[in-house]
Amino acid sequence: MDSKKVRRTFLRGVNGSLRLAILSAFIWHSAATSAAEQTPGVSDKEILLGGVFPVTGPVRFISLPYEQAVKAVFNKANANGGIHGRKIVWRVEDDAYQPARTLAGAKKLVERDGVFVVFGLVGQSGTLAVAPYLQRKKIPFFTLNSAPRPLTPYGWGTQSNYGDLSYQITHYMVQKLGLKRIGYLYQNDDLGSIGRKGVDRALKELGVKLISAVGYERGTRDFTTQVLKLRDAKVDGVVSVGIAPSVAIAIKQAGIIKFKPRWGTYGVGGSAIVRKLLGDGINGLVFASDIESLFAESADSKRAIATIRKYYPKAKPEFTMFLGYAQAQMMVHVLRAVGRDLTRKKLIAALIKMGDFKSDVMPIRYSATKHTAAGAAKIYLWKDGKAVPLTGWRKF
Amino acid sequence: MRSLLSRAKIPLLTILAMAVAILAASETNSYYLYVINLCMINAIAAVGLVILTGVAGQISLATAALLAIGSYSTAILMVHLGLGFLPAAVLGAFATTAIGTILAGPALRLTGLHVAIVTLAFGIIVVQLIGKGGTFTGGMSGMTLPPVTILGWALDSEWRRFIVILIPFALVTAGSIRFLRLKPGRALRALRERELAARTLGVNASAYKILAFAYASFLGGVSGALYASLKGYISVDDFTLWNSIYFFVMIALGGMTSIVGGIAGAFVVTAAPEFLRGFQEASQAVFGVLLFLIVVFFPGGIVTPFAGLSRLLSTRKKRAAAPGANENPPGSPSR
Amino acid sequence: MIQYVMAGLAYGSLYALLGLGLLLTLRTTNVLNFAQGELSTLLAFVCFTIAVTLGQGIGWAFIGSLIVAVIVGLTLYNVIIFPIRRRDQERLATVAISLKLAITGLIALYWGPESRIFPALFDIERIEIFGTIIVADQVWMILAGLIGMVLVGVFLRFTSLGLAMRVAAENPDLAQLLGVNLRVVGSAAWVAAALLGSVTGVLLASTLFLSPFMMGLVVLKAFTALVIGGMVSPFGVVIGGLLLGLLESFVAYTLTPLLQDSVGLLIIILVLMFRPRGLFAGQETWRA
Repeated sequence: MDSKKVRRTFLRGVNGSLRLAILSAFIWHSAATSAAEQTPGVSDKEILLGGVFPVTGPVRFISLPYEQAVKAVFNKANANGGIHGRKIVWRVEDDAYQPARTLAGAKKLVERDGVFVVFGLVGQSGTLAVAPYLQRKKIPFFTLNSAPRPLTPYGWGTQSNYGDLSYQITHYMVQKLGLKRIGYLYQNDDLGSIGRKGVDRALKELGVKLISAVGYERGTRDFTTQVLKLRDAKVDGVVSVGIAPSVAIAIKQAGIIKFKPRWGTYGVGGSAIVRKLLGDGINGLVFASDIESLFAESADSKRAIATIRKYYPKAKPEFTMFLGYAQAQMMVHVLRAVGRDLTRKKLIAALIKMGDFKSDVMPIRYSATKHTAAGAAKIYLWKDGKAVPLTGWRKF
Repeated sequence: MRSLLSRAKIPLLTILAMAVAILAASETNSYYLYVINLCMINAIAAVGLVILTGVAGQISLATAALLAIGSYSTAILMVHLGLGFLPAAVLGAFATTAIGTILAGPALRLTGLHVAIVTLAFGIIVVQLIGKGGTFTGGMSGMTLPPVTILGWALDSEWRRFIVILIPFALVTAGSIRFLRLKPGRALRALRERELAARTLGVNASAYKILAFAYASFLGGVSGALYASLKGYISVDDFTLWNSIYFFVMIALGGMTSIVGGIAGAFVVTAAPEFLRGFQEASQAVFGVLLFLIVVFFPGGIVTPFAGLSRLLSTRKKRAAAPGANENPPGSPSR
Repeated sequence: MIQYVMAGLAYGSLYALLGLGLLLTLRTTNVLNFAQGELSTLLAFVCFTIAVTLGQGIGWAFIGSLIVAVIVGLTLYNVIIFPIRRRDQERLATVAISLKLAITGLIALYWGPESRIFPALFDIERIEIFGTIIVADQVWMILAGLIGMVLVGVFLRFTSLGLAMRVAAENPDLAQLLGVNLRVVGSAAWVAAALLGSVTGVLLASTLFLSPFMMGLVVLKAFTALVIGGMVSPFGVVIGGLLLGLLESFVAYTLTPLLQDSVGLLIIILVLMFRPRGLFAGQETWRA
């Protein structure tokens, strides 16, 4: 009696949920458009691109400005006749920063929606989660991150290796600013460890030793103990590598205890959050950036902001915005370069041949061996509330 | 053994039929299969949690950590020692069992919420340690598994992975249901309902609690190993506190004490975000609110409608046969 | 050195206050409020909206958030918890967990995911005493902690409502026989938890910045405080919180700041393994 009931209910439960799965699978499938083109994602009037990144969750504050910038660039291109008569359609899926869902989203885009390429991946764990799958399927994909080795030949990154930026800023701080006692404040993950490599490389070249390295876990919000340690180590310059709010709070809290070394950082130095949180305290901060700063007041950055604001008047400025802008401009440029006969193979060929491309806000260079877009970096100094360039674009 | 197989036969067939249907519907479509694979993997861990929390009453928020240990052990054995997937997974499952059973230690002397908090802390610390593992665990950058083959058969398509995941899933499901009917299972249930009485009747509470932890840990390890093979790349972002919370939610949705419910809950929680994609930014809020409503208004879990139906049908039969038959109230651990 | 101590005490005070909130709701209404952090965050956002969006200034905003806290506490308890109070702890814990999810999602949806500057409470950044710099924000945290602890202690010990709460925590049935209205007592507990949450949220936001996810790690430390107090003793919880804060600072000072966040988790495991009654087994003021 018991066992029959057990079995029946078990079967019902399992059957029920599985039938739900089948039913939904069929509904989905019948609703999906056919992807049986010669080249998936390319129709007579449209090019379909797909991206997977956080739409919900704590990382959204990074991806939202990025999304807005990309959409603005694509909208502008579409308004100007599109790509040889085709409009760009960009579909975005959420992964809530969970790599398992990044993969699900990528599969959906590729198989159900039939995208041409995967454009728009944010975060290293998400990118690495989908890379093997996309490589196998021979689908070009574009990520915001730099491109670690496993991503070639189909993966294309945007941001430079943080180590290159930390190298440049450390070098500048020691050589040009004459700082002798350098400290390193870092987020304890791949971000911080890659940054460390750059710092070490620069210091070794200049024959200077690192006085103090103080770390914090990802997600830390208070840096009292960290800045106290750096102060006690009596450093006169600190290279800070972490996410924007962390970099900002550390500087702020150091200021409160009257610890004012020279602060240097990578691209986040140009982040709106940093500026907001520090106010005037931001003056004196130097940073190495592979994109034009939002706050540089140059003609290029003004034009970019204007374009974005045209479609998203309420867009909150953030440096990831410019990264998205540059990446999207690159995409438009390379799609145009291929011509009307658009295939994945031809796209890759065009990318390899691209060489130097100056988007409004970022010098980009792709080649057969270089799959990271960032081509050069500029050193900026915050002065009177504005980001002033101290150098020109120095190639990596 | 035969009865085990026969019990597993129909659900197995249903799943196979479903898979064939999907396969027939579109040859290269791995998206649905991938989601279903993920559901089954989560379901395996959820079954373990049902036994541990639902049946034995030990609230555990460490499930994601168990998966982490299973995944990382497998990955480490494959990458650093060059083992094949099968031996690595088996060893990984045992490693997880060993480490997870350690949790039974404090649990033996503690009650409900204390156990919850200790598992919470354990779950977070384990993953933090993994993140600090440098090149051994890939640190915060994660680990990529070498291509997975089982006895020479390469798992290079979602379809093949489906089969490989299906087998443990079916076995675990059938086995766990059977386990609950056998003496150890009944003893666990008795422990939850009336610990004092159970002890008086000679039930060795400590031994059974340890068993529950071991069981759940083993299944967590299996689940973790399969997860690693499914994704091919793992990192600490896969095993956060929120993931543990989601596992807890899975069994809560299923009524806590029901294996079937736990599986259903696992499918729902895993697949729901895919359904909710249309909501974009609001999806997290929608999911949270829906969940909240279900938890408050359906304490017996979403399986209650099914259970109610089954009861209704059998009551009708019974009324036809003999009036006044006694039925189990909903939500009690009868499956 | 003294600055490490100050930082430790400051954050310890926050842990203590949140821990007290957890204790009150746990003991009085049998719910382990996993959503305490989210509640705190929500009230901090309310304060921000009044202060900045409605332009009322931080003083009024803070008072406003306290009022909203009372309303939210009352609503949460009476609408959600009270009707299901007879269920077992697992069910209640599940409800709290789903609340956590729902509230976070709703905050991020309504206010947006970005971080914001929270207005400073007072315009003082630092205080200098004999050449040593004290961070003003930390002083406010310690003060708030002291006031909060004293208020809660006085409330529990010397008011009839507090007495009723203690009786209800010990033995709900007996309490009902004695004429204690469980609904009133439960409401009081949740209102208190909300108020404590409001204070902690506002303090944290004004020191750092406001974000829907800002309470993530902090509430775990409140759990540590709770555990040190054996989950029964307010005195224990308070000491536990302060102790944790100091220990974190100590570990950061002597070893490395990297281990700071693991300290609380380790303590939870150690205490629950070896002294589940907490470190202050004799100090259960619930009994006094």
